[in-house]
Amino acid sequence: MKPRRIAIFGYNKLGQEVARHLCRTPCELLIVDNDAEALARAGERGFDTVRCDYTDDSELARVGIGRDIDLIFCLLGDEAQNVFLVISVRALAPDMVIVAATDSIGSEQKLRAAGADKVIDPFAIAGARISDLLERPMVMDILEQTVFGQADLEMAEVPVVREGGLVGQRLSEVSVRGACNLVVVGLVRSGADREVRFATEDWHYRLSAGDMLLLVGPAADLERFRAEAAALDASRGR
Amino acid sequence: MTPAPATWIIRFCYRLDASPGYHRAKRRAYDLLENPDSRLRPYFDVAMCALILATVALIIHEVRNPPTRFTLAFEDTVMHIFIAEYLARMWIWNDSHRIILDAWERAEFLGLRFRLLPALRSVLLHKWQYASSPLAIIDLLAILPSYRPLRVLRFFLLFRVFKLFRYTRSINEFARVLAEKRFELYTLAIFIGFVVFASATAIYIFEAHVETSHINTMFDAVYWSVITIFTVGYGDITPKTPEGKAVAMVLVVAGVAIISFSTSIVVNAFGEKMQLMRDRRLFAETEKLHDCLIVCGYGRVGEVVVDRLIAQERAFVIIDRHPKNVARARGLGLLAICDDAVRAELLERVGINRNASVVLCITGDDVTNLYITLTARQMNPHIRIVARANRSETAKKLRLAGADQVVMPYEVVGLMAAEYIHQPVATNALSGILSGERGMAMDVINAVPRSLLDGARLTELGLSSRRLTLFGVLEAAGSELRPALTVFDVGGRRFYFNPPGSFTLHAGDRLVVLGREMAIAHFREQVQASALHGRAA
Repeated sequence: MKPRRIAIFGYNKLGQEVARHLCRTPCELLIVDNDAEALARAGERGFDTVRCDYTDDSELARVGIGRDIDLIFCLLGDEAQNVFLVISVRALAPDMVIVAATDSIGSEQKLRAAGADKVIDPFAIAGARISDLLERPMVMDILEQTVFGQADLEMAEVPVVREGGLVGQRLSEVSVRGACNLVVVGLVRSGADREVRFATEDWHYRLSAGDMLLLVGPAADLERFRAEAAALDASRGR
Repeated sequence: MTPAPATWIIRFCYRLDASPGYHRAKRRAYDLLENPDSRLRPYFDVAMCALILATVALIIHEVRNPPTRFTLAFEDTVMHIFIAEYLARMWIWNDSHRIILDAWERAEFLGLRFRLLPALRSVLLHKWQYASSPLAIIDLLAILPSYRPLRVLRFFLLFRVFKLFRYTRSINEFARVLAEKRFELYTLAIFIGFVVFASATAIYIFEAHVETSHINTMFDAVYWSVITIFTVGYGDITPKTPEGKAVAMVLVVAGVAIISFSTSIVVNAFGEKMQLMRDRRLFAETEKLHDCLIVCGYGRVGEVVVDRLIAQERAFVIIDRHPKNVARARGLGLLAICDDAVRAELLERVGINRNASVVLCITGDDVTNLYITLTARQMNPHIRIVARANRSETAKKLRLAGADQVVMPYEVVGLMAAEYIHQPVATNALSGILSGERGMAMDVINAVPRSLLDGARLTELGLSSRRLTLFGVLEAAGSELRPALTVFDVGGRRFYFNPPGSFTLHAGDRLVVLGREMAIAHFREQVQASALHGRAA
């Protein structure tokens, strides 16, 4: 699989954090900004940088929008600029995945209307985090140190493929497969509204091709499970 | 050698000091009469107000009707209550036995001869301090006229109405505001006194000898001046001579000036103090909160946190230095103080050492957050502090300053972004669970001793039929390793991720489960109930 090409618009505080986390994952990063100083800083960190005036469509095309960029982060400091960028990019590349950041409630809807696939509200997330810390400190502590932290517990989504071994199994059966130590959190049914359904609500559901399982577990077990799920199930012939 | 009466008194004082019953009684009296935080005091105040109003009504009634046996008995009872209150207040004013003991111990320590009389004089001096305070004088004046031989003092019964002041906070505040304008009011009083004296003398000189004039004595002159200067002007006494009329004209002009001047002093005093009074009211309200949170910073993050605090029905007080943010919070009917949270006395006043359990330092400025964290930690080593760091370098400093937890908004987004580009659905689901969307939650259930969890194997619990998913088990501190596939270290304790069905729970373990909030709550209830009724449940 060729690595995804990701462009980050805006190398501010937020852009720096996103870039810092993304450079650990297998993808090609491109930092785009209109400020030479910010770009110089990004260059020092070893990122590819492009200077671009986002109001000009031809410049956006030069950066690679609509051609070889798969996903962009719109992290410009100003709300109106972000909306403008999202609309411009959406017009140029209808299939692009656009993730935008916002800092107010009202603009989330505007960004979505402009065509953003996901809108991240850092302050809302941080606020929710703080209130979780107060309400459920122990859970947050455990998650902090396992799923979010260095310990190798991960959350993953595993598609149910047509020829794979998972088709026709009940959700409850998936969860008790001994070999892989995984917790089934939920699933997204094929065709339906793509809403996440939690496993506790749907224990008796039989998996069908196109569904997507949400699992949590150690990275090695997830890898093994993914391989098994993709493989033809030998036992089905019996 | 100390004389015998002194040794008795000292022995008695020591016995008082050692007696828990005495201290308890005194404490109770304090709660009833003075303690502003006591729950009992408002009831007591209302009851006293009712008594006062009843006696005043009785006095009015007695002006034209002879007293009956019932009214006399009632008045006696009330008088005794007032006397008891007066003495009780005097009692709790200070600790007299402590004064004597201090003097005695000082004498012992320095090897001096203990002298009883100076010690007793100091005791009396302290009590006199109480007796001469304005409120105590009002109390006394309210009691005195009840003695039948002092019927002349009936008029002083009106002091009982003044006694009402004692029980109302707002009037005290009013008096305090006026007291702060003491200088202006004194000046005004001196000016009025001067004008009245001058005009009274003048009119007396001009008119005392005139046949038709009503001004015969100096008292008449002063009476006329006062009635005129305050623009009442009954007209029972009028100047007859042209000189007298001139005095009257000057006096009327001076009167208008004085009235407008005094009005402006009062209005100004309240205008200046309005914010302060409102803040005082706010602080008084924060005193009533139990287990409250101090939210420093009502920006975007603060807003989200506060929304959820409201949903959880937690008590909190907001501190923000930007008037705009405070206005927004007040618009929502929240308790908000517009001030800089870095001030130690402000944190003290909102109860960091009293009723607050958590401090949130979530302003947009890292320097401010750090400073608040440090201040709060110094003031209270045990309070929980959650701080926000905008830059990742600040996180470490915040922990050093004493923050228990640090949240980094931008870091969180970076993390989410990294997760999102690979697994958008999973990330959404996890953040949804964490924020309790659609009633799904991840929560902890304690394995209470002697409950259905204590010693049970996981397969016996039937978690899936309870519509719960077990995420893992956090062991009780100091338990031995149990067989499981995946074990993590969480804060020095083992966390068994997704333990097998044969896994046996011990008392003190914590189950981390995933499910609907109501399912979790129901299960927790059952666990609690089973601990109470043995394992039958």
